[in-house]
Amino acid sequence: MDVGHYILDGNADAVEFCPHDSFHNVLAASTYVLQEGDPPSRSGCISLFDVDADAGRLELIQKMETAGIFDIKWSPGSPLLAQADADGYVRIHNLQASDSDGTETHGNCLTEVCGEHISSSMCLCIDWNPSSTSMTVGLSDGSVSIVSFQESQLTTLQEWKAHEFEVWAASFDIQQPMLVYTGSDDCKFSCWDLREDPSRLVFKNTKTHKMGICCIAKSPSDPNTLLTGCYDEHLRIWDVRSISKPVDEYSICLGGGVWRIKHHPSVAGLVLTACMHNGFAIVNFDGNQARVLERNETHGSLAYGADWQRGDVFVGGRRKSAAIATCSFYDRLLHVWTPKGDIFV
Amino acid sequence: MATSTEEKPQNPVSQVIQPTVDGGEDTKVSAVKENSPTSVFVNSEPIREEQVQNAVKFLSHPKVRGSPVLYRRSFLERKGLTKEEIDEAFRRVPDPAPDVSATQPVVSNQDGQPKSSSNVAQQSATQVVQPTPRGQFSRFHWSHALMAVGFLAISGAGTAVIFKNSVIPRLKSWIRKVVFEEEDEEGPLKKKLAKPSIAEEAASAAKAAAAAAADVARVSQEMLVTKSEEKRCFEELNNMLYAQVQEMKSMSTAIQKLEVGQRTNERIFVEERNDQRVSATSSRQPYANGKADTNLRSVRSLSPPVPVEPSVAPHPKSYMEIMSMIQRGEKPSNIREINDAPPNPNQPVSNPRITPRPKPWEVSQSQNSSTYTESNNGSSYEFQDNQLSGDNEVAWWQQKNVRITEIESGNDQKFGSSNVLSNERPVQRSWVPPQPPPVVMPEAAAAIRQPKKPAYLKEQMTDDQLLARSQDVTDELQKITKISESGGNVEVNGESSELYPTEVQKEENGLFQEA
Repeated sequence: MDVGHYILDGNADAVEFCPHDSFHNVLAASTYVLQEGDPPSRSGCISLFDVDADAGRLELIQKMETAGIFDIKWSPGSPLLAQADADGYVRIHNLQASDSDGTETHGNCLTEVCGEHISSSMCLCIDWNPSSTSMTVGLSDGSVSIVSFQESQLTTLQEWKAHEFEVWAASFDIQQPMLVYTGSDDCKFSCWDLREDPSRLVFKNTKTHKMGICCIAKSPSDPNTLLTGCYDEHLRIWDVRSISKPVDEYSICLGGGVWRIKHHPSVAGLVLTACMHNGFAIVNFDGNQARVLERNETHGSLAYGADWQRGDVFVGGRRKSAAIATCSFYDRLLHVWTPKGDIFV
Repeated sequence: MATSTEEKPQNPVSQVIQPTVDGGEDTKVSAVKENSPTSVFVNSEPIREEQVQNAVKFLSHPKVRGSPVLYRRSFLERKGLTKEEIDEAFRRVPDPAPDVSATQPVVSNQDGQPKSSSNVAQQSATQVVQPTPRGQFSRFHWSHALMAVGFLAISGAGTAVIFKNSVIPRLKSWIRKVVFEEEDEEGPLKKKLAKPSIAEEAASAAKAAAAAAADVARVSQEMLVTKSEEKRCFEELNNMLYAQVQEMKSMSTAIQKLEVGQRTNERIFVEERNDQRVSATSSRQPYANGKADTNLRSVRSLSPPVPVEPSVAPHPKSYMEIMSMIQRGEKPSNIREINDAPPNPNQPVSNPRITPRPKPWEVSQSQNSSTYTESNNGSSYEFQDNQLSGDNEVAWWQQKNVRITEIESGNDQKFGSSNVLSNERPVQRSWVPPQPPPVVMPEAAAAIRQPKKPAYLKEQMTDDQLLARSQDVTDELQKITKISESGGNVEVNGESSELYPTEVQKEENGLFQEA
């Protein structure tokens, strides 16, 4: 079912629903536009939307112009939105519900809290740790940086050269927050232990991925399962119980480079993937097998951003699937929809 | 005959007796002794005449005569004769020469029994013969045993061989006969045999079919392999074509620069002559330096080394005139403003003109790597190139705010390593992954003119990778064209500048059209 469409101002690369209880209707979308020139510059904007799946409403609340954004992430703890942009900055925005007009829905707005130039290279990906105290940032020169956010201050805790090519994926292990997984265009999938300074390499897998790694997503429900997405169009399921290295249990080819993997917030074994040339796919995986439940190929361009709306609703004893937001790059399309089939079986 | 026989036994007896008894002379004595003890021992037991007679006969046997006395005695003892009887028998049996006289009366006493004694001797001889062979057998026990075993083995082997060679074939032939007879008798038997043959044929046919299927599978596999090889070749071809496209791009940019350089050179040529004249005049007054002088000098030093022919130059103003003009605040007509301010450290990095760093999974192309290394080393060749191009731009458009970015970025590396330089481009590229565009197609050329409609391309292309590649192509080509155009158009103030961008553009488009 279609909830709404929107054409954004720039090439859309990320969409994120706010995970916080009072802001389940808030959707943030980021754009990135390369302006040729001498020198070329990158600009983008963050657009804030109000989503009501039942009413079929998708409404723009706020638009904030900024540098070209590669990734945005909501903090798991407080309604903060972190942005990683092409100028090498990390900026934090605070979402507030301001009842300026007396209407709650139109009162949400983002205000920038702080920003820090953490590197001369571009910040490609960002991920909060489970306690919302720090973020890991992947940089375009192959470095990874750990930035702490405390009392509205951003400070770089660690920075080390993790890879030789751009780091497109860096994420904390949800269940073991001292571990950070990183993936890069050098086809290496590594894990780092942050308790030491400089970080200690826990494992490095160089052989499994045939092309650059785009996304690493740890399962929130299963502490042993980790998923990676790669340019070689394979979604791989890993078991991290082995001490020295994760074991690749299964891989499924999705027909397009797997750019983003989002676990369903409450249902285990269900992920939404953005598959670049091949639209979007909802994949069900269980231990050592995976299958595609539903595909969405309505977008006409590179599929980069996807996210589940939080806060499933139970109607008549059965879970009613909440909305899914997807965006594609060149056609700047933001699409909010609900899955056609029953994906919770 | 009897006497002869008796004589003969006598001889061996005597011979036998002799060794047993030491000395020849003792024989008499021993015989006498033998004779005498018999009379002494008669008292213990009665002598059985029959036994004695048998013994005599035994002892009279010629064979017995040949055997040792001990054997004879032991035999007789075994027969149950007493010692007296044995001695009596020995007494009666006639001894050879010395004992003849002694034994004759004994023998003569028993004339009736010489034959019987001989008979007895013969009988006993046979009996003796048996034990002696037995005795002898007992001596040669082991060798005999071995011989027996060997004989048995050989015989067994022989029988086995014979059996094998003769008996079994016979048996077989007999069986065949029987079978043949049965065949002849019963017709269905033939059919039964034919059926197994049919079954065999069916089995062989099945085997052949399986082999054929295996062959088919193998062939199909080979076909798949060749297909994949073809695909790979195709990909390689694509990559090579892309490399060629890159080359052509670089060539086009080089040509651009050359053209630009040429045209500016012509202008500078004219200016150069004027400057040279002025400097020639100024050299006479080397220390009368003004701003003009430094400007002129700097102009002269920075301009390319073009040979000057002062013969056809317009008449320059004298040095003093120019000095006065400048002091008044006027600018002389044919000077060129050079911005020799220090470079701006905070300016952003220029757009890299090198090809992006290839990803590990991309087939590394020699051109890419070579250009990268050249730029990386900051070779003097490129430095001069930059300098020339920068200068030409400056002279051409007469701009104050020219960003000498190309030169500075080549030298300074202020903004980090060439990683940044190169990463700008790869990031742009990798943002539109995955493969570099190898194919230069008419659709790509069309897309250049319509930059933001990649959707059309999607509809036209069938292969997903081609789609990505074509989008990459369009993006890159867009960027390149825009950059070159912007490079041509930036700070468009000079009138001459308007002439060239269009030409450049035309040339570029022409290039791409050709491609």
